[in-house]
Amino acid sequence: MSAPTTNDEQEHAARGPLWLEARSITKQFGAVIALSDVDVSFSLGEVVGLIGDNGSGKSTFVKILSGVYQASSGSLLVEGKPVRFHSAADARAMGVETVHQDLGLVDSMSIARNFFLGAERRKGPFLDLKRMERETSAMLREIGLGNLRAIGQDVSRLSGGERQAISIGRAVAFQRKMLILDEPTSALSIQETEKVFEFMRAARDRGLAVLAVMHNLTQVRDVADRFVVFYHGRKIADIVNTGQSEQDLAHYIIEGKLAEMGIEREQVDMGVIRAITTE
Amino acid sequence: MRRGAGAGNHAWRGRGGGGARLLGVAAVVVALGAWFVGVAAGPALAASAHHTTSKSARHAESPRAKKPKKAKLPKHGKLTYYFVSHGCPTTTFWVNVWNGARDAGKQFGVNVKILKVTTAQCTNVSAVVTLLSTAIAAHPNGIVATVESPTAFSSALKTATHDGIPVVVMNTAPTNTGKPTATNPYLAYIGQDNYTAGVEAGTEAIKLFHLKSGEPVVIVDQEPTNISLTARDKGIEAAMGPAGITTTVVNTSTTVSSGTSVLSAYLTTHKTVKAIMELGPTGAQQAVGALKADNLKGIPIGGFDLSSTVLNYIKRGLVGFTLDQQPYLQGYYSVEELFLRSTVGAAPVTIYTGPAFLTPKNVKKLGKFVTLTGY
Amino acid sequence: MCEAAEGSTTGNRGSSEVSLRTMGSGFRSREASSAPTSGGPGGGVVAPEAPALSRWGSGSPLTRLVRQREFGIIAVGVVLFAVFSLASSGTFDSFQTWGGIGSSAAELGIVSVGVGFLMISGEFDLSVGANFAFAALVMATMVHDGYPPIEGLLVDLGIGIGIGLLNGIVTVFLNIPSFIATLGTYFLWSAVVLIVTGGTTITILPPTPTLLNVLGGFIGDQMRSEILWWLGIALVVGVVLHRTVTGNWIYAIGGKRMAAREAGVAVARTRVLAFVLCGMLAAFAGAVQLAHLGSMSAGYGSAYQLEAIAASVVGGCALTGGRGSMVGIVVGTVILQMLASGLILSGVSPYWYQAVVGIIIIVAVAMHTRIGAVVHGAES
Repeated sequence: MSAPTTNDEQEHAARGPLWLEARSITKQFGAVIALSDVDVSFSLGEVVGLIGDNGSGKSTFVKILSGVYQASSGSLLVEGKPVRFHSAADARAMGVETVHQDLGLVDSMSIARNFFLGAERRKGPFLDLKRMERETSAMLREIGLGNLRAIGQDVSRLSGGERQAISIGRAVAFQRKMLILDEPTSALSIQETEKVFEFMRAARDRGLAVLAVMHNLTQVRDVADRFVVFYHGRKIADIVNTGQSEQDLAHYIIEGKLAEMGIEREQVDMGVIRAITTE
Repeated sequence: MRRGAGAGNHAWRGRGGGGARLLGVAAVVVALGAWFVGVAAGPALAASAHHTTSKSARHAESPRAKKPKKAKLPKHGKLTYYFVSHGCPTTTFWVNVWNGARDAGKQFGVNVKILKVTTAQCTNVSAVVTLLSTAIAAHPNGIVATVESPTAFSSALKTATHDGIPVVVMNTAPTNTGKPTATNPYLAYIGQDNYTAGVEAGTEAIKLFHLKSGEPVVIVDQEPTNISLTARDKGIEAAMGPAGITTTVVNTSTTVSSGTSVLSAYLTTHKTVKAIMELGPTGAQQAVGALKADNLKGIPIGGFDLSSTVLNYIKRGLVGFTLDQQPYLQGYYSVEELFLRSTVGAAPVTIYTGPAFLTPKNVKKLGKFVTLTGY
Repeated sequence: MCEAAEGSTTGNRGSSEVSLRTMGSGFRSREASSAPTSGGPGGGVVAPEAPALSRWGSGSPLTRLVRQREFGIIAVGVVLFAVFSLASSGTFDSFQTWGGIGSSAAELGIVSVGVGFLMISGEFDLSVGANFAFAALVMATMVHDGYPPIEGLLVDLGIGIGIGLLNGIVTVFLNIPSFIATLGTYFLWSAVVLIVTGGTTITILPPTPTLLNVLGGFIGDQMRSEILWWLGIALVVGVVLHRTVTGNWIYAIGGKRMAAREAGVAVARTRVLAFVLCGMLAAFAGAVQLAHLGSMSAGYGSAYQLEAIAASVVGGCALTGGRGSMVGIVVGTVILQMLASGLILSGVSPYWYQAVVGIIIIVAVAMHTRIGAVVHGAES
């Protein structure tokens, strides 16, 4: 088996041009190094699954991309030009939409009002509720959510998957370039997870770069076009999804971990590998 | 007039009664005089007039007189009167007023509905106006009201007059004398002229406390928003000003303890104060407390209204005199006047239930009658 | 006016056909009872008769009416009205009674509009009573001393805006909970009003200036113009609340402030704006009461802060923000005033008034939370 390759040369069929590049990103919190010299690039029309254990640095990385944190060193490039995200608003203005777990929607408001919150459609000084409702249901249908009973209902009455759909639909509708989803399926049933993947693919097919932070290897295989694995603040694998088995995937990850620990694969017996795999 | 018990005169003045007034009212007026002055016949009459059905009746040592003979009155259905006032539900003064009204209701067999503002609304005139409007909308046989503003109650009172509902005002009237006007029409006032009471208190204090020109006197106002207290204060100033006595108003608080410290601080820094005038029982408690706190002796106190505490102060000589306006009677008479108006058409007349002087000299004689009315 | 109007529209129901390329119903919305269930466990099956996205979903007009958040409280109001009308032998449902109820409801109601608006944004204002008296007393003094009444009114509104602005700044920028911040300013302004006025009552004797008649004089036999001011203000603020971006933001901030901030809502500015509106309306209510009563004193506004919160809560505003409507706030105010008069006219001992208000508050809140759950089938 060949060593894990970076994706740069391997083209995904539907993948669009390179959009965001994170170069040599390092983030320190006092003496603690949360991220160390991380390079990841994101292309339009591609779903990247970011995998890692707790403390691997993936949430720190996501926060840097969404403008919540600023990197200690390294740079971000959008379409080849260096950018600095000083705040979440900066990142959003550049086209990066981040969907935090259960944070982005106002439960007590209707679907359409949530959808257009902060970018309300107006007719003169008044809200154009009809248009907002029409556009919301059109967009939700487009990404695959067509069976909502009523567009006027409160978000509090929706399931977890439907909420994700609204957040994802919002990113698509407002023509963001990149959509970051933080553990989008962690609280969902299998069926709902599959639906959310549909929405993510729909967003990808409409040309967005999608980054999903996940910890479930089985699930990430179903949706990601590429896997990026973090371990102890470093990127240890960056693999195009070519339909590898879960076992293969685990091996890449283990090799990355072993390399990170300075151990050659040949030196290790399978007992250790199993131990690391099940970590 | 109104020296106290020794003088043998009663301290109330009534405007001439209408020709149609019944013996009942006459009896009450006589009883009132007797009650206060302590004429031998007084207790029996007073008890018969006011206390046969009241809770306090069990304290009465006097022989119980017969109940008034209702048979003499023309027949009437169950009459309903609304009693609307600004009184705080928990103020002792108003509890006595309402006891008087309730006792009158029981005695005359009429329905007295007492409407009160909530504790939070105690200073809220708008709430009282709303209660009065509601009472008028109920079209009762009569209404007792307090009128704390020369303008706020005007349209309600006019509506009542227009609808033919008799209104008697008690305790607080839009004018000093309680005289109704075209703006504020009603039939009669039961209460005290607070300005005149103030003048009398001021005059009495000069005499009793031997105040001289140039001497400073403190007036304790525990509730600066109350127009009755302001009228008393103005009356005191009107009496003392011409005598060359300088008066200073110290605004304290309706809370006894915090007001006491305010007054205490004032007295510490103003050692020349020759007398303290308080405008009500709370002020009296603050004055006594402040003198005790500052260990000051020989500064006399005089003031208004009665409570069990003030009665006790007078018995112990801590307070030189108080002007009582007899809240129980204010409640009782108001209902009685409406009753007479409903049954025999007697025109209600203005009755001043005060000011009546209570001093350490007459308190022994009058104390038990004072207690009878539920202080 | 506003939510009810929304409820009656059917939105885009007619125009939105569900496209067949929709990827089935792998999950379904929680209204399982009426959503099609043909998707089955495998998912990916297209629902043959997928319902269109109507505003309120399926159900008869009656069901949809009952789903309205305000329905319950309006029903309570109607029941109370019927009971009082029967129990009062014809005195309750008279113009005279409602003239009285209307006047007191108007003054409390104008305060409640602001307090309710603020509550929906998730904040309290306990200083409205003190603000009310302070602003109106200054206006009364000015009118009494011969200034043009309109100048008095402008100063009154200016004071209200200033007090609201201060509340907003203290709450938003010093990050002090509004309950505490406005408790503080309540004590502050209660004291200031006594310091400035010495506690006197200011009376404006007839002839009443025209402006005061416009604010609170009689129109017709029983009704005062203040009722129109109240309803007009409720209408305007209701439209702002339900039909403008500002209103949308108020709901969002009260519902989930973080989400609103993430969505790019100008959170701080909108919160301060709500405080300013609340302060301004409290001061305006003071001016209206001055016009009605012809006098003003430091104590006149007492109890309004709690009554206004009670009216808003009865009308369906959530204590935690994010929920409520202008119809609810108005109906809540009317119910409170109706109780005060209705109990008296029905011959119930007035001692019961506060007890009944307490019970109504609890019943209303229970209803607002339960009705939603039951009708919308959220328990499934």
